[in-house]
Amino acid sequence: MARIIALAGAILAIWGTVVAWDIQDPYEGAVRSDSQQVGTCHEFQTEFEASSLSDVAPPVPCDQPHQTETYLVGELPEDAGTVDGERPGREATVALTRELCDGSQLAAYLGAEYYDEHWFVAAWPRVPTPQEWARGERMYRCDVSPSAEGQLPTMAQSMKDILRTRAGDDFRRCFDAVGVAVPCSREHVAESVRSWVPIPGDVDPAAIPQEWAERSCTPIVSEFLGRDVRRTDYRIQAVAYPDVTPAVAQCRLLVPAGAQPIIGSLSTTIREGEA
Amino acid sequence: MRRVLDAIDRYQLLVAVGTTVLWGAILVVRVFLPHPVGLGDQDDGHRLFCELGLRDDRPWQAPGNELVYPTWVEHRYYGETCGANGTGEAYYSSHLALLRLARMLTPVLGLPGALDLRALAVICIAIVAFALGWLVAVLPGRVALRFVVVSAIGLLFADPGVAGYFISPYSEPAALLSVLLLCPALLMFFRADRPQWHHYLLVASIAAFAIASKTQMISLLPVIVVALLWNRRAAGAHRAQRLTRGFAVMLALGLAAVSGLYFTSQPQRFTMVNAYNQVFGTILPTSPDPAGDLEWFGLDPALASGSGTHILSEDSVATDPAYAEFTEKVTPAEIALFYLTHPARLPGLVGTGMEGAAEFRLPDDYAGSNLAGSGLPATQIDHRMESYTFAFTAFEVAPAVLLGGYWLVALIVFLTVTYHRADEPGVQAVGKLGLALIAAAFIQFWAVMLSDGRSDLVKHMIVVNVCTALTMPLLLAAWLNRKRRGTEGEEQQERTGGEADREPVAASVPAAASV
Repeated sequence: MARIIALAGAILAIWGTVVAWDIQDPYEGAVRSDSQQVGTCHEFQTEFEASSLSDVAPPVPCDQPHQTETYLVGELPEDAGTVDGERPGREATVALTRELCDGSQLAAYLGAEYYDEHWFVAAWPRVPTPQEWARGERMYRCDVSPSAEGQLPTMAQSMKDILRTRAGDDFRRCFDAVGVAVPCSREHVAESVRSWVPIPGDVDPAAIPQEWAERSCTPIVSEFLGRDVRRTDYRIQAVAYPDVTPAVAQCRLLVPAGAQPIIGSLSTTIREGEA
Repeated sequence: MRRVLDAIDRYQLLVAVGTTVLWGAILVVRVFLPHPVGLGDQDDGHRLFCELGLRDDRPWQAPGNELVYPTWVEHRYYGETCGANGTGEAYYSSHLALLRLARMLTPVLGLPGALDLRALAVICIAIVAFALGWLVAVLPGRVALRFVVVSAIGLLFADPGVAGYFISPYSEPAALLSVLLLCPALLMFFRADRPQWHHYLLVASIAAFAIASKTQMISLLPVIVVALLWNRRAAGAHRAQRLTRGFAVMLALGLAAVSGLYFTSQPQRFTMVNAYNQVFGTILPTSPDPAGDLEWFGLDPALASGSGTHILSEDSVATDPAYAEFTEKVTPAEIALFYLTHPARLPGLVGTGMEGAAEFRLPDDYAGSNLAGSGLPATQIDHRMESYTFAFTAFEVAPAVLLGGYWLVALIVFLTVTYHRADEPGVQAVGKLGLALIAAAFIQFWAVMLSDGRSDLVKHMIVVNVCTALTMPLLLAAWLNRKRRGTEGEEQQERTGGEADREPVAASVPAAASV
């Protein structure tokens, strides 16, 4: 009896040891990194998938719920990688692809005009898997997703040229009554205009005079709105970027004095009205 | 069936089953009532559960360590999204066996998701209760004394420092449960007059399960190999004994092969992170010459700016071009060689390690105990049935002296019991088991310090803690048996008018329990 019990226990322990190696094959059903193109959409559910260096999951149609969308595909520099040809370490790869997934390409993909900002989005660099890298594959891609704090970023439409539509208000930066940055699709009293105006030495960045603000920002804001801002009730504000030397200011468009907060980007509203 | 039952000592069986049922019930109450408690996830669970195609049912970006998220749902991972620390390198652990059982049990218990950690806790409790029942059957001495010793071990596994892992996503339960199961298996092995093949097979297979649970558990290999080859009674001229001896050697070699396979199949990322932790988190912060130490490893001294950083921290030097050579130049062997050639660093390393080993349970800010959805506060810590947690606070006064001193005293006692009680195989077996546990604790201590070093130290020392704690009831067992022998000797002397002095003590001891 003791032998039988001992044998059963041993078999159980051996089974437990053997199944340590019995795991699912994550490459079954995967697609090649280089098969994915600009405009393809991708799904993930976990933060580990979001931050993964590579993504070989089959893409999903962009009109179905998804998390990211590819806006850029390129080839990594020839000298990328370690001296023995392996993919660089995780930290080095992340640093490299952060440089490659630059904002100007993203702005163009989102349909931003020159003075349009794009906020509340996150860029996700993807590189070949270690196995693909070993085969000489060097294609990388940059994905974009909404970056809603504390929520799984989910879209059910393409983000290409989204800033040219009302849905793009989710990715424009506005400010609420207490000065907190919010998407323009939410209540706000000011909207940010992509600008970088040098502040002369005789102007105090902490208290920019309104006269200087209007003189410097009016052409910029007018071009952003697509009409002369002086012919509207909207006001102009210039705000110095913190910790930038030499000092520069950013132009903002404010709702008329005494008006209630509004919802939606003014530029989108005006452009839609003209259309 | 009747014949089988007749062949077993029914009384011993009753005691064993009674102990199993009683401690099973105690642990169920301890873990589940008035509400279940476990241990939150410090992002360790993903690498293990993803191998089974599971993800936790946790809100996006919700911190995993403040509450325990017990429900895991089906999920399909592709490429390197599953594996060690986001590298896609597969993470192997025998704990997956317990998770597979929990997956089967989850719908049976009516729990949500594909796998619920509460089902895992039920399995863990069943194994602990079974091991305790088995122990009570194979320990030497009277039933009451054996029950006291086993209950002391039961308290160890009811302590939050251990029981917290039952509802948790960590691989520690497999390591801790297999260490516990090794105790009765080794006792049975050591007590056997002439160990048979099944004794050897049982010890070796449980040891293989233990070693395959976590990389650092490879420290058990030398202990078990010595144990398998130590038992001289198996040796002899008879052919059967020679065959058994050969079987033991074969098992030892097989165990070494499994250990080697497991060790080499572990993710390279772990080796890289461990090396970073060792150099930048352990060696450099206490070094009088950080640049010199880096030069010793053949690295750029400029990397000294990374002293005290973690590989993932903002100020990590892992993105520095000079770091590119790090993984090639800093290997586990090089780290061991560094300490051998810099012996002055060892006291500091030992002191740090002892501080970690003297803390039985994780720091209060490590992970919360309450389950998500229970309505109970996040980050709250479970304090049910603290016993060894409390006892270990005595070591914290002067960890190196007191814990090191305890190991030394226990070693001497177990050596004494092993070599001076050869006439009592049961008590001698307790001594041998104690020696095995002290050796396991000591080797595991060095395995931790030379791999992860200071990083996550208290958690990594849990096996050292449990091996150390297990020796405490064994010391009690040795002492109780010594006291019993003294009492019975006096009784015998009274009956025989001093004749007992010339009688072998073992003759007056009831036959030890046999399994």
